[in-house]
Amino acid sequence: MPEITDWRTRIDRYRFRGYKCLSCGKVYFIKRYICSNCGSTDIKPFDLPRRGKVIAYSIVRQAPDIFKKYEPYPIALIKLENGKLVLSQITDVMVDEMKDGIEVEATFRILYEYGRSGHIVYGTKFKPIID
Amino acid sequence: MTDVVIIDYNVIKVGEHWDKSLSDLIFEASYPLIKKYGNDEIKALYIGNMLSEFANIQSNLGAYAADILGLFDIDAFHVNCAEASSSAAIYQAILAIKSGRYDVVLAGGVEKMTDLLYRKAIEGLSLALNADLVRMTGLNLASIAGIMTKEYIKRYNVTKEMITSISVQDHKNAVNSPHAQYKYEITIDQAINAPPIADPLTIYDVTSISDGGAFLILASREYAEERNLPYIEVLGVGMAINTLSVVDRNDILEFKATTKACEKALSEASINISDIDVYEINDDFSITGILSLEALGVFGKGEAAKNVYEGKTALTSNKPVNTFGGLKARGHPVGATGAYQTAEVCMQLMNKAGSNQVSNVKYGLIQNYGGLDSVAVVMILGKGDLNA
Repeated sequence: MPEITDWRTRIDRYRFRGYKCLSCGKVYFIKRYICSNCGSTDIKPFDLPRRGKVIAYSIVRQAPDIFKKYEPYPIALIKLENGKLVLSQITDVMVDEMKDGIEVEATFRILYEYGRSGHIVYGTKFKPIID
Repeated sequence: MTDVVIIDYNVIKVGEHWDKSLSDLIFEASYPLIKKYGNDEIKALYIGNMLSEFANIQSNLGAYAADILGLFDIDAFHVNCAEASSSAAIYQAILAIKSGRYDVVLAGGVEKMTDLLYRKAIEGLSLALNADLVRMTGLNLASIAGIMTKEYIKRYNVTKEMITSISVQDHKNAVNSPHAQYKYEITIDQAINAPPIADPLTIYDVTSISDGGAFLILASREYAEERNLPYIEVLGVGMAINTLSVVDRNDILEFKATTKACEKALSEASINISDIDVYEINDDFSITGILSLEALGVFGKGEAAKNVYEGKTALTSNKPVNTFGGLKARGHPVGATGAYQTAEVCMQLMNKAGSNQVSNVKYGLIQNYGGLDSVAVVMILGKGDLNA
């Protein structure tokens, strides 16, 4: 996989950004060029809320090669504080401790490393909030 | 515009064909048709395939297939719409015949998946989703299907057993399906208690890795009638798309591309969904089969799982679904699946379905999508002239 691809998305991953249509306010998790709701091209990145609640999770047991060393790991559908749904890997939790409905927060983590170059790709995962 | 008909089909058994290469599968799936109808008659070739560049390190499958088949005087195209590649290839063939450009076209699909290690195959399939999202999160198709399953159970107050019952039905229908990969029955308990794939999904909620190839001969109605060839009519076809990223949809349980494609196909065929006598639908996961039935309008929202569980889609019911085993048990060689589904509806319409024959079939529907309904094709076939 061309490593430059990940370099271009670094800011979205580091800051946990989404995209917002400035015309109608619709929020997207993945970069878009034209709003599917109103057709506007006035879409700008913005920092998404860093807290939310797990709506439902699943466990990945056959991960892509680059994520192999973390498996089995939870993937969760998270409702952020602004109501936007996102998907994220959940970290700092054993798979048998994972529950639907738990409160989670964003955390800056290593996503994966490239074998040959040793290039480390960082991004955002979510972890349970422990009061 | 020219009316389009299907005059023949050929499918090979879906399976783990360790001894067969991509080119072997193309040859075996299509050469019997070329031999029967003649090199000179076929004017174009549309081959659907999703993973050849990833799994077989081969691109340019249009010319590749034409070369294998010795068809040097034809137009040839490689169509890639992920898991909907072969139904999209058939759709392209239909358009080309309708336009009057060609009289006779070979269309279908082939997929050689087992050269990949299981983990690599899962990774290849996940590329039909947004690849940035996959690399940001480490998700795969099964984990999203797992999340959809939980959401469906919670929203509609149904049990996991009800959803998984579509896999049990698929396996039952595959027992007498000559070209199916898994020709054995399973019980609901066996399915629920099987090893997990992506919780709450077990190995019986997901499709596995398969090799396969299926092709059809499509022609103008005039061509078939002039030669007294029996044929099946293509009554309507629709295609539609949806966002690749499931979380950017208004509702993760709505397959909008399938709904739109179905509306287009039904309107072209001038019939209603309740007129359909046999359905071949895209159940790459148990939950996605259930959501597909609802998106097509066969059942209302939240109703499909209960109905399947109660046997309302069994072979002997009035809404028979996946009569040869569906994606779960016939097998899901991704870029060939739509061609298998189309051939299966032809078998039903031609009364060639053997012990899986549904009685009094007039209309059949095929629904095939790629990337969790980011691209969907729906086709409606009707009993044409079979007495020629």
